[in-house]
Amino acid sequence: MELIQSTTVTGTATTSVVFSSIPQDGTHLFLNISARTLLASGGGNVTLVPLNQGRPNEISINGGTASVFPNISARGTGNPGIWTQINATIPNYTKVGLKTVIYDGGSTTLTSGNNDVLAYTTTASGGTTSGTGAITQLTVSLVSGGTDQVIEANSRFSLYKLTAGTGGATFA
Amino acid sequence: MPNAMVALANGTLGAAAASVSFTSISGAYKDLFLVCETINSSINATLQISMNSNSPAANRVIITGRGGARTSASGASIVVSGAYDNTTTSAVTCHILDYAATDKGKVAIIRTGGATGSGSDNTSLAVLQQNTTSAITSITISFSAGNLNANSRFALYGIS
Repeated sequence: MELIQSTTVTGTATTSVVFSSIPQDGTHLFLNISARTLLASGGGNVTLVPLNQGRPNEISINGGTASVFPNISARGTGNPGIWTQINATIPNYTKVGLKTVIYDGGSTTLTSGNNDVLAYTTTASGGTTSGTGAITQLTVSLVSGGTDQVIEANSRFSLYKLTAGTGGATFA
Repeated sequence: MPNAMVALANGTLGAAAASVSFTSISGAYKDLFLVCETINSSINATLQISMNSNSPAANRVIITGRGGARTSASGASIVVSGAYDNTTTSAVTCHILDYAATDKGKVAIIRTGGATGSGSDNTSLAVLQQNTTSAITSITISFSAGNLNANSRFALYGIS
């Protein structure tokens, strides 16, 4: 696995992190996120928006009421101000065809009812070029109430690529 | 895990197949990591992953859901996902810990999901446990019904 880029938020006005010109010589992408927002109080559904418009599915603990969202968003925590860890895997990101992303993540304070553990899936919607083309850019935002939230300093976003190969097993 | 994952084998199906397998897996690594994109031909089929031809028979615990609805299941099975429709491309990761050990049982943590909005796709998280002290040397992927369609993709890595 090779690091493509790691970005640490340093300012106070950042609302999104963009990975652009993603190299096309990899097979799978892995995105690791450690982040929190500056929302003052709990209750918001902080979400991750990393890919083309699509349809997500979710299972979560304490996430509760989420239905199938009309747009792509993955709940990271229900308790803004708490550090959230999210791992995202995008298999075969250079292929022509729909991309499916799986996420795992969560956060906890042990004392709040808004903590969450999640497993999440998103498939980019079909019928659009952006839905079927190779992934060349990822934009990550933390969203609550439909609004991009300010990402707190020291939040970190790291993107890795993994290549396929042979040697050590047989595929058939 | 940067720079610690070694590509072992990979393949893309040119035509539908009932199953695919990784065999003769080297025991030189600490863990195995499997990444797949699977497309099934039969609606409401469930994904199955077996290690060493499921001998001895594995047990699994699984939670699966779609939006607000969640279910859980356990028992002797190699089923590792909820049902899928027959158009969803599902992503799969499978992490098999200490797969080459000869002094302990084997555990795989599996994440699957597809989401085309057709009504029968879902997200699943499963743990598959196989009470064997034999090293895992083969992995087989299939669906409970139908075939893996063409363009399904599979890649296996060793983690050192």
